[in-house]
Amino acid sequence: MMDPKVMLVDDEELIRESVEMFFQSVEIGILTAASGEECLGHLKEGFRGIILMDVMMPDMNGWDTIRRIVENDLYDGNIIVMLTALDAPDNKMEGIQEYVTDYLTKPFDPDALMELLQYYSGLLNAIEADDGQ
Amino acid sequence: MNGSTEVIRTHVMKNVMKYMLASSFIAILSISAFALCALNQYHAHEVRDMHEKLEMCLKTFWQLLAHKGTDFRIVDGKLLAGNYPVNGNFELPDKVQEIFGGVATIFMGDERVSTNVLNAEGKRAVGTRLVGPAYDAVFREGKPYRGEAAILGVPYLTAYDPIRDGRGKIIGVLFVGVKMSDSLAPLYLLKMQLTLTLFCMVTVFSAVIVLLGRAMKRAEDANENQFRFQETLLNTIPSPIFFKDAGCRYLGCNKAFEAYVGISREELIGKTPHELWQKELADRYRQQDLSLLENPGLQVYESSVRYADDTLRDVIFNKATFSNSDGSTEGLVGVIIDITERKRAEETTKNAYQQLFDIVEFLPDATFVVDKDKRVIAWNRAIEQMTGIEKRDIVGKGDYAYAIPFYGEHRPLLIDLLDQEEERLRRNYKDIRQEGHTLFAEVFVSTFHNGESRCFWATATPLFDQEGNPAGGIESIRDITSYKQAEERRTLLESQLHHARMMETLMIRLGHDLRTPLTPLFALFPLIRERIADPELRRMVDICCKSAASVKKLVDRAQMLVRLSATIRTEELMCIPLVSAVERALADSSDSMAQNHVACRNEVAPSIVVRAVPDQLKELFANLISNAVRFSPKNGVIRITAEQLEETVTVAVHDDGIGLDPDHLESIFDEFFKADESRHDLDAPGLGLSICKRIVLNHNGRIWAESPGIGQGTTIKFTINEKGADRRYDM
Repeated sequence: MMDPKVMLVDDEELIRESVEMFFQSVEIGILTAASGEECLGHLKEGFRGIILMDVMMPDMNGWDTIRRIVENDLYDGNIIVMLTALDAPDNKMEGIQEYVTDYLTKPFDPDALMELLQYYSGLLNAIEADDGQ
Repeated sequence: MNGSTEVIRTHVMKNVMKYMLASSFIAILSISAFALCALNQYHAHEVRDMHEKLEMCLKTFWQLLAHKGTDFRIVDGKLLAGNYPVNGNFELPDKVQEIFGGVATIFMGDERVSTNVLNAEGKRAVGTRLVGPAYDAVFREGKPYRGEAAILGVPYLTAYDPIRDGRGKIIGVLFVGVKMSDSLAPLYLLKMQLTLTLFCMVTVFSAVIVLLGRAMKRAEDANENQFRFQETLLNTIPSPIFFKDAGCRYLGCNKAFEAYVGISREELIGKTPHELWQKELADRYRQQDLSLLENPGLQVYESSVRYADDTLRDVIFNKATFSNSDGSTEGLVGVIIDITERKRAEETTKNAYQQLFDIVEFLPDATFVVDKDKRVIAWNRAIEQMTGIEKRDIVGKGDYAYAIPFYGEHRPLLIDLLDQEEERLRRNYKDIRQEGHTLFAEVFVSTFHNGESRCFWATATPLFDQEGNPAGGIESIRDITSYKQAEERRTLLESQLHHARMMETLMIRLGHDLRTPLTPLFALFPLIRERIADPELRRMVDICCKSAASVKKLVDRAQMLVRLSATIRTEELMCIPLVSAVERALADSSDSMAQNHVACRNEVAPSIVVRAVPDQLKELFANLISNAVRFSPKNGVIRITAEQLEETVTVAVHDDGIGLDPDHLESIFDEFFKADESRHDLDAPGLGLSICKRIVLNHNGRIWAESPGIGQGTTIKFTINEKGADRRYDM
């Protein structure tokens, strides 16, 4: 199995830390970002992989961050999964649904998360393999 | 027509007066002339007699003198007759006086020498001289003189004869005088008086005639003017006017009547109705005329007549008799008033009112109409129903009778305040509005039907006739008591809704806030558990895991409930085969069914298709199955059936589990209801059936529970619309 490259964007430190600890336990590398700005920074530094994006964040929320990613041509090579505490999509995502591949409702079951990561990581590898040809 | 009669009368009067005046004048003149004549004759006779007497007297005087001598001469200044000296000798004059009365004198020349005429001192007036016409006649013309003369202021009839001498020379005068006052004086006086009277009379009469003539001329002119004025007046009156004599013959008419009959006045005069109209009509006119003439006074009746232009008109005949000065009826005057237009207007008004009443009758609001005297003229069905008072009991009544059903007393309603100022109205009504002439008011009445409290909304507006004069008013009354109550309920519901929205927001917020701290728990508990070898500690962590999962479930359910409270939009509804929906739900629940050793039979007919929101239908079945599984005994069997009844499908989920207390049949659908209060089953948050109820209600269905009793199983049933059902969801 390919080592999935994952970035968690969440303003909640306890969540970042606990998810990081979980990923360490399964020996998967994970990058965390406390805000949209940090997320953009990682992308500019060359991160490509699965982005777990919290919707509700102060200053720049998840939707705004996605808009900025698209505007900065940083989307390609990434899969975005929204982490939401609200169980219904809201109207702030108007116009950017196509950039959101999946939703994960908080609190998420670690096994379900792993299953999801492995699925999208395989997908990403397949796309990369296609692009590489 | 009195004027015309007057004119005729004055004409006659004038002529009579002229005649009378002339006659009396002639009579008086004749009488006076005759009297004067007679008097003159008598006077002449008397004068002749006197003259005869005078002549006789003179003759006698001559004879007496002749006896003394016939040779007259003057010798020595003395007159001698023969030898008889005359001067101072009074024998002869006295003799004459003795025989005839009167006076006698002998003049020598023009000097009285023998006389019985006495002077002022009572002495014989000897020595005085003859003067005047007698002197002239005798001495100048040599003629005898006869005439009247005043002697010493007394009128005398006198006779003077000249005395001539032998040569014919006038040497004296023989005179006799008869005193007129004796016999002729009264006659003379009478004649004088008569003449004077006659003169005066003639003068006065002439003056009177002149004045009268003038006055009559003036009167005649005035009459003429009045006559012309009256004729013009008559002709100006557009209504036909006629006058007839006592024999029903036309005496005259005005121009309008000429137009009505179609013949000129000249042709009309003297004709009878029978010469103008057909017998039947003429008979009727004659009948009416005669009845009026028999009972003089005024006669008014309506009729319809055909004008000369062949139009048929509705008219009123106004007829009255007129009489002459002695009071006897001379004829009649008639005016024909054309009331066709008025009748038409009346008819129009009547129709308009009828139309108004017809409209009012069927107005949904309680409505009544009053005339200008505030008497009820219309009382519609709605107000009959509202007040229980029927039309026949109130129409025609005034004195605020219409207020009784509302206030139990005679008092003004809104309709009686139409002419009040707005400020005054505000004092009487808390909520009143005026728009143009119309009043709107909301009234709370606690005396309706003797003590009921009602809230009315009333509107009143005045009615006007075509000329814009007030003609009454109309008032509509609407019972808004239930509307008011509904409004109060609505206000309450609105505040409840507001509260519910607030709660919803709070729930969403709470859900979100709970999910975030749960996330680390979910991430970390499995890691902790793996690192613990001690089974007791592991068990503790397991409990923590279960609790966290329970909290998550609660949050899920609560948020689900909030989401379900939103109204379904039509486009969310889809046609779903019921059997496959059940199948999917069973598949999702297969794990828990297996764990609990419960079997489920899907007995739904494949043909049934329902209209539902897919997610909600899935949630509904998931909850019902999970609920049934939980209360089923080991090896229990759950049966799901469906029955289609026209547009609705009744679905039943039956278990053979613990059953329900009849008291709980309803309350199991309440949020957080648990049959056993003390039991806090962490797996069953108690929201499952309330979610079911919410979903069913969202689909306009009904959900209920049936159970024969504790230990005898439970059946939850709900209805849902069949695919063809045409029910709106987004109202």
